Amino acid sequence: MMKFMNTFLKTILTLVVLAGMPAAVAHHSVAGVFSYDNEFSLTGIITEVEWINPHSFVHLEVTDESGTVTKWELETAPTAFFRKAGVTKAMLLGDGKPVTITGAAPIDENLKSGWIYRITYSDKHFYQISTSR
Amino acid sequence: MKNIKFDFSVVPFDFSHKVIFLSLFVLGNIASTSHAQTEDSRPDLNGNWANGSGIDFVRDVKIGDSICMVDCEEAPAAPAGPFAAPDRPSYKPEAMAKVKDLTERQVEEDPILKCLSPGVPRIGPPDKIVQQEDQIVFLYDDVNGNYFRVIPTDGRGHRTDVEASALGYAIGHWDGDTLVVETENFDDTTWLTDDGSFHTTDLKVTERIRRDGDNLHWDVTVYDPSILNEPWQLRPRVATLTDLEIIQAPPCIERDLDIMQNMSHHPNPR
Repeated sequence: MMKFMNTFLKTILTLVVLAGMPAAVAHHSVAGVFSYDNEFSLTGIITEVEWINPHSFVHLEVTDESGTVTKWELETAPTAFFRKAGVTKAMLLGDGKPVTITGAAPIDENLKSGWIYRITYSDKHFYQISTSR
Repeated sequence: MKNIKFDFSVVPFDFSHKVIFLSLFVLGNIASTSHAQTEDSRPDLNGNWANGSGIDFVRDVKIGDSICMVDCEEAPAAPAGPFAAPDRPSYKPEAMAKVKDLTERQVEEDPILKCLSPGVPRIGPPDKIVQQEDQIVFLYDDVNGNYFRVIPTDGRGHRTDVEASALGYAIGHWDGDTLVVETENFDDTTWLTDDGSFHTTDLKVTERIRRDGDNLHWDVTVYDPSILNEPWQLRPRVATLTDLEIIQAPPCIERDLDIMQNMSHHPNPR
């Protein structure tokens, strides 16, 4: 198990049911598409950042133990939010090394999507974009 | 009146100069902050203003190489406790069913997610102000693109020969040190907030904007008497002067769940 956890390119997908979460502040599409009650954590490689409005998208490729690659499209903030915070498209894309992304899982569990809370890069620096409340 | 005489000869030369320069320095700073004025002696609202991205709970904090945009535990300035309750207008009972329906179907109905204008006051304080003697221009870098409002301040009234629009037609005047912007002639394509707060074409919005040093106070009242119980006074907002220049926004692209689900879209819209 430890070997699995320490292998960056292996999938770490955890759906944690967070009981008793404080009521979320509904804004934009989060409340209707994603669940604040289900938090995901994914580790993989960012392959693309769609720098568009009203929400940007981060494409993440996650490889599981068997070597199967799953592509995720993770939704995040408008570009203006990032620009004003000093975060560029290139900074979001990172250096090609594995990142860990946490966020709100989709209500439809078949969707390979999510609403990003935080991206943590291999050198431990992070961008926190949203929260569960 | 008692005649007070001061003998400068008894004051060391260096000391008197220090007093003079210190006085000029203080006066200069006061003039450039609290009482910045234009050539026509109006408060100077020119500049770029950090407005929390139009949303009052976004406050960026840098923590080493990390950046926290919302609610970071690591941020030394992180506010304690939960967010304040959402700032929402009070609707008449007969309007509540529509608000509830739009709120529940926000993903399908929110104009912003369809790349339409956010409207006023949802757009928030301006990102940049360009001030001239007879007009003021508000520029925005909002969640789905750039918007502008040209606001005459030459005493003219509201135009009646223009089509209703999402941002309405605005005129401005000065009330002492406060710029008062009155906007009407709205269409009904926008929402007042994120959560289904619709309005009618009778909407009128009054913005009172006052500069205090590097702070821009934005106080707004919304009038829509056929659906609101009372005029809605938004929670006061403060934008801060910034060196960050506004730039052209990337394209706004409406995406729906089907596209997300089958991931068949082309990532480059052009």
